[in-house]
Amino acid sequence: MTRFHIEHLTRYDYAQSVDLNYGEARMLPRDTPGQRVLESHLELHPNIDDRQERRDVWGNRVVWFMSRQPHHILSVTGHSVVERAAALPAPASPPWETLATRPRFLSVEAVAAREFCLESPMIARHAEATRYAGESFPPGRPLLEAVADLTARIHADFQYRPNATEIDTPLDEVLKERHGVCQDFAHLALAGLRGLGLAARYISGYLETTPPAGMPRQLGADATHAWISVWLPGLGWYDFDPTNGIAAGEGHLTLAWGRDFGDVTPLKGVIHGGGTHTLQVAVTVTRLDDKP
Amino acid sequence: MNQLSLLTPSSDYHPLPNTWDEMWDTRSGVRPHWAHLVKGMTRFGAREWTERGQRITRLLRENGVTYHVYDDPRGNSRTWELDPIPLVLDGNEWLVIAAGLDQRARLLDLLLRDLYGAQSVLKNGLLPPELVFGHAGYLRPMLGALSASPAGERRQLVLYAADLARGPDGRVWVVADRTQSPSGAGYALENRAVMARTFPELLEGAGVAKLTHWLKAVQAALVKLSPREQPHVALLSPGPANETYFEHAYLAARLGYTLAQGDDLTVRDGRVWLKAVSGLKPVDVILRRLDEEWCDPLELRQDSRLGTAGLIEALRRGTVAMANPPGSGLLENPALLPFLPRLARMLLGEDLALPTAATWWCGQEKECEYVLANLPRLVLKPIARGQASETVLGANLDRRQLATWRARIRARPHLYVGQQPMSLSSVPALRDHRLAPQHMSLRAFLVSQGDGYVAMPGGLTRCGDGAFLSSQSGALSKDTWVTPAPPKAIPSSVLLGAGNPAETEILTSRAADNLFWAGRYLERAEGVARLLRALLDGLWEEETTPGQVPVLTALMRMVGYQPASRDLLEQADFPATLAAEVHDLITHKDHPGNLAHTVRALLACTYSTREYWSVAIWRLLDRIERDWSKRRRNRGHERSDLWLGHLIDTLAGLAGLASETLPRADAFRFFDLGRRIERGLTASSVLTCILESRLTDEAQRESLSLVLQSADSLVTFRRRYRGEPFLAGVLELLLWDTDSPRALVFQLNTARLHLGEIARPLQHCEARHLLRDVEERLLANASRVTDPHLDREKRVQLIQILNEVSATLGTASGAITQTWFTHVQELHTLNAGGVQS
Repeated sequence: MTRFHIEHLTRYDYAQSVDLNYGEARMLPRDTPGQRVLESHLELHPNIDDRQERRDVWGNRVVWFMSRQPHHILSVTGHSVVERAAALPAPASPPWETLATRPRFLSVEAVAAREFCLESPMIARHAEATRYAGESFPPGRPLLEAVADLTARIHADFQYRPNATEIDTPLDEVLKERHGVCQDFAHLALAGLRGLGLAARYISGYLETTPPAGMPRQLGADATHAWISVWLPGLGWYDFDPTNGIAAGEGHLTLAWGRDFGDVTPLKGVIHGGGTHTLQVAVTVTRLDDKP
Repeated sequence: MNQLSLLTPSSDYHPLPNTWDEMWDTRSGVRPHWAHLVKGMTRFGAREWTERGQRITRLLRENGVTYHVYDDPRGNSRTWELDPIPLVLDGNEWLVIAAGLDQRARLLDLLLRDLYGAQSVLKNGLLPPELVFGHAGYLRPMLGALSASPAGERRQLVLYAADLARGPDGRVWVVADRTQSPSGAGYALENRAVMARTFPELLEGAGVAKLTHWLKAVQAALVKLSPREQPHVALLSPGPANETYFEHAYLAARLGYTLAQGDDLTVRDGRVWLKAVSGLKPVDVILRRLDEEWCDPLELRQDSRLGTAGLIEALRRGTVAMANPPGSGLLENPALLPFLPRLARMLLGEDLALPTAATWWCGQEKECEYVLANLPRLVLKPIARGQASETVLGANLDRRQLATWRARIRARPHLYVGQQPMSLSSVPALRDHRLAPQHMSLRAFLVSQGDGYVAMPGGLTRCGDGAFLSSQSGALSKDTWVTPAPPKAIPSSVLLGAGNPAETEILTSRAADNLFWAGRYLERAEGVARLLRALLDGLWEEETTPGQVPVLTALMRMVGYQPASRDLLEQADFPATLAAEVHDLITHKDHPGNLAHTVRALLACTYSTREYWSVAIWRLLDRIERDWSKRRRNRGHERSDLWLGHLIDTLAGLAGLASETLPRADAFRFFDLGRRIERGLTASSVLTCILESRLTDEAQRESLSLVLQSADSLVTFRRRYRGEPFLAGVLELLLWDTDSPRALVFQLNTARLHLGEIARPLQHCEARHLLRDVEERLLANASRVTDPHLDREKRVQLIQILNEVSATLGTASGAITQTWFTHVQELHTLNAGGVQS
């Protein structure tokens, strides 16, 4: 078990005063089978007149807030301490194609997983992405082995280039240019897996900023990170990080999950006034200790 | 054609082969429940039919029952069309239909609450998950929110409508369910009102079920959604640009609810408030006519500028209830149809009473194969509205189109259904002066009541030539008569208190804004038209006398034409140039400030506040609109004179009627405030030009006489001064006479009084003090003008004061806007917290 301290700052600087501000933040981590949130709170400036925390449709933590105090700066900071279990080695999994056909009777978990087989607002069916993913899925290959291979191929074939893309870069462009950021690689992998009939979801989270001595610093550690999770009936969800070409490990800390980035946007808002703005995001993830 | 006899269809009416006709039974003739109507109609001759038809058209137009959008620059106008022959339904059959619809609504309500709650129908395998998760109407932010509503675990589907059709076997089928925000009830009510005025003798004694009772049931149902005894209900509309805006305004007025748009509402302290001129008013219940996905830019469509940020959160907290709640569009999914019989047995323990068209959801393998193999024999539908493709009849598709559909379905099977085409029954309708059989469908309306639902006895019937009917594709509508009237389904105890009008009417800031500007535009239009008319004689001769110049100058300033230099006034050909310009004013299409623009703006403002205007006023507005559209054809002096005279009379009549019918509450005050401010501006402008001009005595007399004429004050002047117009007299009458409704001081004084009445504690509007100061200054100068020939110094002084008055009126208008009207700040949606990297 390892404990991590997370500080996640999002700050908007507006050219003109904002008189009324409504927001929704998904910046507090959730519990997962391998992760426990020990403490967390959200710090908001300016003063917030009204705030309410709830769970969204997938159980992610959402803070709804509104402010009537005129302000030029909005800052939202999540402070959390989470405990993360070391990642277990991947179990043996059945041939992937046996999971892509739809079973007649579904468990409650399997019913929920069906939502992640469908297209989503930011991830439409994409023949080229499906074809690309298909290369890792020859008949009979165990599911998790195939996904690991796809993950490694994305890491090898695509160049990680921060600031290369906007929030909604189309897959066409990513596939053509062969570069992007974690969000693009996650969307690419999801389009491919769903195209093959598998259930896969988008994970928003963090990477450890400074890894232990001797370990390489991973890509995407300065901001919020994104990776994917694939459904293995009966056993649950398994996370893979196509940006770094690996299965998600101890340093992958989960914030929230959904169908694509749009479902887990860390901060959404509607403001009255404001004019132009600049945005600053900063993430610091610090290892606190290792418990045996 | 002398007589349209429904009794001898062999000569006049030829029902379609192999089609069930609502009126005519091939074996026994006219069906018994049609007998009363048929007998009554037989009396009418051809002329009578034409006249009644014209009366219907006139009534619908005058009542403003249109799809017309005044703001639409293309001028798209679609008047609602009502066929004089109603659909008659047998009262006993109706009871069976209503009971079937009640069952269906109860089932859909249970389903709605389950899908946004425990989702047991998915977990138990009663519905495939893709059918829900893949539907655009599944609004994830609403999950868990329905049970939070003030209505608690009770009814969520408050309003329900169904499109019904009758098959060749005479059975009534449900073609589609309407759950999102069912529309059409207002049109059905208006159709009945028009029929009652057009065919009183036919409705009389026919024992037709009345519809108004149902409105009371709607009121009772909405009241029950709130724990408060007298909840404040607002009707949320997307605004006048929406083609069914007529219905929103009509229902708001009939039900006594505040008509609101998204930015009339604001969410604070976790609840919804209405921005009213008297401050923020809490809203307890929202009757929603805004499509669900536009309701909240924070949690639903981020590009929506029609909704209110925070609305979903308020619903989640249960501080406001909504009929129907966002998310109810999920039930309009046609893929649900084949699953409903089983769901009815499992959830209700009942067999589904009303049949629905056989439907195959392509999300299931076998069903999909069937649909693909039978494309030309089926109706093909997307499961949600607004998705790339529309409903089509497979039989109408050519090879290429069929291939496109096949590919489309294969790519995303769960988004499509195939449906057995329904052969619709026919009904007689009057088309081109002849009776013709038309295919028909009926939209029925239900509202929650107690443990079940009550149906409006009747509904909105539409008919046309084709297999698909909708108002947008030019279908004709019909009144629907249920006879004999079934017993009233609602105990009167339920209705007690439901219809009480709100203690005090709440005026939204938006309505106040529009009423104020309706007043200003009305006055401006009348002022400009009067000046134009007074000048018309000279203009047409294209040689303007010197006396006309100051009045022309004033007119040109009012319509926003600024002469390049003062010298222009002295130029020899100036009047001719001006004449051309002024002539242009009448015909010119749209230029801010001119008559065309002003009239159009007036119509837009009144249309946006149509729930305030009486039928008589609406009739005048309609006349203005029609006259205006004809103006281009009017050429020549005499015609223009007549035309302008007509316009002035109508505008004056409008002002008078408005003053007579608007209650002396805030609505009237804002309207009249606008008129006073505008009239004050006109008076200042005209008199300034007079004072600035250097004219011979003769020319000045002409000038003053034009001014008096345009202020409709010539007679008053002559009676008072018993002579030709002279400057001091005109100034006294038009500036300082506190008793004259045309005098400047009267405008300032009245405006000030209105502001005093409108003001509430804690609201400070500087307009009132500004107006008082300038009114005092104006009056202080009155006493000192005694000399009939003003000297130069005096003129300069008066011009100075008039300029001050103008400036003050402008400032006051701005201050009023600041204090009371909706200032919609630019709204942004931020979506990020940055790209994830």
